[in-house]
Amino acid sequence: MVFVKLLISSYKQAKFSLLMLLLSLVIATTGLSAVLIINNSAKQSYSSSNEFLIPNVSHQIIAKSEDTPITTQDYVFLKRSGVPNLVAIAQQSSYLFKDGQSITPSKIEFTGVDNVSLFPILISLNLGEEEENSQPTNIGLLNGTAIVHQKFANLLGSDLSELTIDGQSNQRLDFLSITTLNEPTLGNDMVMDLQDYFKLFPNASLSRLLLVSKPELKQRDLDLIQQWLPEHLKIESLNNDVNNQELTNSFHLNLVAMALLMFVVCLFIVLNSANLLINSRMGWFKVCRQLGIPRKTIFNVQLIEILTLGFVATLIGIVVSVQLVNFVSPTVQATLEGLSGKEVGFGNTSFISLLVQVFSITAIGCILAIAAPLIKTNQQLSTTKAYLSNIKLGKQALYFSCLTAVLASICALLLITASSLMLLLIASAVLILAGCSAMLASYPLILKRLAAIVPSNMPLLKVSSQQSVLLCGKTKIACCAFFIAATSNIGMNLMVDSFRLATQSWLESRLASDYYLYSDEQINLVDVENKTGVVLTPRIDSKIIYKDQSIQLFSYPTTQQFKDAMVFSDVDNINTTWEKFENGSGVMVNQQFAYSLGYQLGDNIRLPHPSTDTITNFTIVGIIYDYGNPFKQALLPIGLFDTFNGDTSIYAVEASSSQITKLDTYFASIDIDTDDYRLYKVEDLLALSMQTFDQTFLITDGLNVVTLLVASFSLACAMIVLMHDDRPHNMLIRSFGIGRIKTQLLSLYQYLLLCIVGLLFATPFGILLSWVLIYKINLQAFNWTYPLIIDGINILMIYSVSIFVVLCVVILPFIRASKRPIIEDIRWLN
Amino acid sequence: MLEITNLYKSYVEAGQSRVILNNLSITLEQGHSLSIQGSSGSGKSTLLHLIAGLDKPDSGSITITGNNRPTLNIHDLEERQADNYRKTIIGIIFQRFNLIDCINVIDNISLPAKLNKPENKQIDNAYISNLIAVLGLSTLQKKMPTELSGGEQQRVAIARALSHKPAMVLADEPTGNLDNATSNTVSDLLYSTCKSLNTSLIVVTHSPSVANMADNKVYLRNGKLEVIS
Repeated sequence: MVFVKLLISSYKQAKFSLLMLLLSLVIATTGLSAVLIINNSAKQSYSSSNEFLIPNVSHQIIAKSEDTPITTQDYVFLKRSGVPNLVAIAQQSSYLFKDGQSITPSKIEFTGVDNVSLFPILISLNLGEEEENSQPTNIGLLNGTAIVHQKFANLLGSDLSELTIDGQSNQRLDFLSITTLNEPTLGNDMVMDLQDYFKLFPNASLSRLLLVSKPELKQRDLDLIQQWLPEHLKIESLNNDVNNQELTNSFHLNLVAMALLMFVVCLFIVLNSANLLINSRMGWFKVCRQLGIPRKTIFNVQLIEILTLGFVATLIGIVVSVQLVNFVSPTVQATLEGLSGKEVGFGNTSFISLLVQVFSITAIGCILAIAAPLIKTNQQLSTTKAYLSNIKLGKQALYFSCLTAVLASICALLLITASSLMLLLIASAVLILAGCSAMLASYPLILKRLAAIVPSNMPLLKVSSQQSVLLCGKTKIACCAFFIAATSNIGMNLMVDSFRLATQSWLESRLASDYYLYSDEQINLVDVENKTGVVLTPRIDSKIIYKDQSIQLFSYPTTQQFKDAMVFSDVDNINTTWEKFENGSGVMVNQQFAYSLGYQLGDNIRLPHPSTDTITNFTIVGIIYDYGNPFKQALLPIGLFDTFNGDTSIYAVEASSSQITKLDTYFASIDIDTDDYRLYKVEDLLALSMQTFDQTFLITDGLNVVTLLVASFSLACAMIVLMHDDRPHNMLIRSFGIGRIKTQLLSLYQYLLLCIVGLLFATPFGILLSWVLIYKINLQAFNWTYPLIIDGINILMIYSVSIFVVLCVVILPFIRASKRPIIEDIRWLN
Repeated sequence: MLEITNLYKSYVEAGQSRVILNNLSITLEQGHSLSIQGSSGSGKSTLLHLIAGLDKPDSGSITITGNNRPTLNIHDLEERQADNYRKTIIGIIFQRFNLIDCINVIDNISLPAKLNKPENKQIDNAYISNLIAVLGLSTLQKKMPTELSGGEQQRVAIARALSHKPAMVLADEPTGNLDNATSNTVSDLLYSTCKSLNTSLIVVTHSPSVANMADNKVYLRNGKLEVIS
């Protein structure tokens, strides 16, 4: 206890170091708990997104094709046929407008539940009483009431009469009142009684029929229900939703990868801060040893100290992260929804469970981070063993070279053989570690070479360059943290930038018309052309099931203009391709289709003819880029489609601006309201798409900067430790008559040299990382890729930002040091 | 010539003012040596730091004249001027941390000379070679400081302090970390080299044998200098 009291009193002399350690732990725990909260929310939301607040739903009845939806007649028929415990659900996604603007960046899911059927079922199954706390439906879906999440309710405001669906005045929410529920499944959903739903969407059809059952339905029951089902309906299990499962796993994996990256970087920062604290108290520990306090006691107390600090930081980190997540939740939600096409809820996270999770990980991290400095301190405090600190640079280089070779081999092996996303993510991590090792192997050699080329008429610069060789041996850990952050940053930035540029050029090429018209209304193309001179080319679509997968068949014009607009990822001869496509024997498929079903150029596929439904042979004549599309698509010439029967909601418009005015007048003359169509100029559509793109990558950009900041903070901690070590050297330089600012600038030069060499090393590994992300991970996760574009300016920008961040972080200690008179250093040394 | 007149310096310790140097005066001719002895905390190093322009006196003056140079008031120097004074006129030898450990012996020795070298002129290599030879460092030129013994390191420090031909060398307990035999060898070299180069030398030391080698010997007691005959 005496030692503990002494330890606490030592904080007075190590206030700054203690603060740095606590700050680094708070940053680490905040990042960790923020990722865990987002992950947990999304997981809860995804895993229960098909339950619609109704428990014990294991199966559902859905339409085989969107063209033949479930009708109310089907529902009545099935109920009358005796299918037990059936609850109809209708769903539609729309924007909710207030004062002419959408209140959310993404669409809101309106869900109607047949409450009349649901209540007797719940009562008969005795669910309400047993699981009172977990059954939100018990609060009742009264007529005229909509259930929303508390946070979404805040967004909606108290007066629903101002809200309209898609800004249409005849679809008002004024007849609804709000009931709030803190249920993560809800997200931005609005759940109401089916009757109210049909008031909002009079022409809507039913989306699915849920089979509520406890215990779960047996196969015999399912077979029986299957027999009763009309031809166009099918039954499916909610537990085996493969796509949903994949999406959840992929998203979960993405967040885990983010959390791991954050964890590794934080490990370094805690290590450096711990080093700082230990260093500032080393003299004090030596006195304790002289007083007879055993090394074991010093070791154990330091371990308890870091765990206590970890616990305090966990509490602070959780509070900060909750605020942070609340602050960024709209962006996070919009991004995740945009990425996955699924609604993401707000989530309920138990404080205790979060505390246990974060503290456990923090404790493991702290022990891992502090193990090396503590063991080193223990050796330094030893009175019986000689402490060996001089390891030859040559031996180190050999050791790290061997390690690099081993890690690079593992990485290559994984990249060649891996067939799962997890293994590919591990390969990325191994790639970064190989980079770290390569950097450590060649850091001293490169710095030596650099020092050699400094002209001898610049003696101080030469000395500083040589000093940085010694410095790199002392800053290995911080340099690794900086390297990891810089590599990830370059990799992620190149990936996003390549995607941005590829998408932009792809959109510019594919959007070949002057205008694009979006409307669900029936439009007579011939009449439009006759009366306005505007040529509308529809995109006709139909959905089919092919090899148990949902495929979209789209029409594509065969004119030269659209031929030039097509962007192929794989094609033989464009003229032959187009000839085959034009005569109806060739089909163009997107990468998603080709990669997920294992097709290559020249393969034959049998698809239903878009007009006659007869199974027809097509040859794949081109594989096209289709960035960001989650669906598998096949493009067929427009001539094969029946213009009158296919679904059309998008039209390419060839028109002058005066003709566009005529088009508006024409729509008005045939009673198509301005709310029923949207006409975009191609430039506006492009700008809108790019804006959505940038919003989607806002989180990635934010995370990149955070990772870089954390790594720079880590580097700054290491630099502060080294600045103490550098005091004799700087004192000597100053005694030669070199000014204090010049002396500190020389020190800064040494550290910046380390950063620049670190960045130069990070560049090839960052490029490799982006290659893995684009051509391996993206392909594995989403079945599409895009060309990697290495933009030198972009890399230079990352260099500038990294150096700027490092400068910002280290400038304060350097200013402090440069203000210190030389006599203080001399007294400190004596 | 170094002339110190009515020098006064005090420190505030635990809220109390403590006088270190009290109305201290002394003169040292160019090319002569002076040893300063005194008990720990008596102010020997403080006096040396004041002469080196590393610290400022509360009152009194420190001036350097001679060698066709205008009189330099050390006590009045601005920081930049003090830096320049240390760079050109004096050489300092500390008890430890004397060498830059990332460069070899020859680079350590020639560094002050390179820093003082006029534009487009070479350093006086012959002079430095002679210095190295006199101090017995010829075989150690390419070695790194960590490869040298304590005595060797201090000999390199002496060479380095003299490499830019300073008017005065200030040595703060230069043999404090050395055994008696090595201490005597290093001190001998220090005194004789300075004498041969007509460089003034001020040595702060606890060792009577090192102090006795100086032309002038003083003992610092209660902030005042007592001349030892």
